[in-house]
Amino acid sequence: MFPIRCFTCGKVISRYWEEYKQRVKDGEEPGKILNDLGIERYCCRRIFLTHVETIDILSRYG
Amino acid sequence: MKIEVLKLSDEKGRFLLRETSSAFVNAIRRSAMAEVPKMAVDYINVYDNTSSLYDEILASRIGLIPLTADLNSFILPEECECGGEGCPSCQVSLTLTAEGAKMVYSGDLFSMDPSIQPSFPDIPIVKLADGQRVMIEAVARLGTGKKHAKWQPAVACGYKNMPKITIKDCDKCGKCIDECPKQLLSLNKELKVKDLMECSLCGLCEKACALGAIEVGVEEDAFIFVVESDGSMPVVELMIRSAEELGKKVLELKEDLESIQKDAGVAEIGQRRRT
Repeated sequence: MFPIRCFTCGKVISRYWEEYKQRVKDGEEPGKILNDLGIERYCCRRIFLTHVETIDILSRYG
Repeated sequence: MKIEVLKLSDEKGRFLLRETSSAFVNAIRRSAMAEVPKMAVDYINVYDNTSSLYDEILASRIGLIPLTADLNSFILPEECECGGEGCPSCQVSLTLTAEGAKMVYSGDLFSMDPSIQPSFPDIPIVKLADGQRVMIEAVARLGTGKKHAKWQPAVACGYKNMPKITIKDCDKCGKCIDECPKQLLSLNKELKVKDLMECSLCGLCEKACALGAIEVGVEEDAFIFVVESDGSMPVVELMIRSAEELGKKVLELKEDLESIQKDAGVAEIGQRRRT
């Protein structure tokens, strides 16, 4: 699952994840989406850029 | 001290403080981050959890959700009459019951006290697959940022000195303009600084200038103070509360010193300690 808050600064970032994911899928450039969503600092941005979603894989083995 | 508000919304604030010292500005910053109490989920009782996340991860995730509350109607568990065991004046429980397949959001938390609600209803907690269930009681308490970051109302709170850029005897070669990473300098008959407050004081323009015509310095008694709220309270309320907390500490110190003075036991001072 995507972290609720940024590890470094503590900003609540998970609420933007679903929109970000959808827009990346639709072909938008990640950097521009993050500017648009108001994720300014690089500490928050790296979490979006590097996150790998594993919850769907894990739930198969529940 | 003079305050000028540069930018202010519920989530973000930017102030210019003049005629003050870095010690005072830092005291306000520390107070906002570590001393202002707020509500957050402290522990959870798990009745059922067949989701893909461990109970501990769920507890951590729910704890980090900011809660808005009427802070005046609650007291810190340490100061409560119940001695921190838990009673209606120091804690509130929220319940979460969900069955998959669905995404569970912070808005699905049902609060026993309507004045306490998650600040944002759209924070994902856990994604449940078909047939997976969670049944949780979460207990929220007041706390301060020095104990855990979930009780920290100020996010990214900091300050810098007001930059001061002096230009004299410039030959308009324009080298410093290309060097500035924030592109703050412009040359139009005269070398000018576009937005002084944006200057990060990196000093690259100084190094680029062969004549030493540009000089980057700071105003020692002026500060740009930036603060963001995590959503549990508006920035204005956060700043007022941080000033209040700082004031309380100073008053405590004053009372202590006065009681020592009254006892007239100068030798005793070393043995006195506040818990």
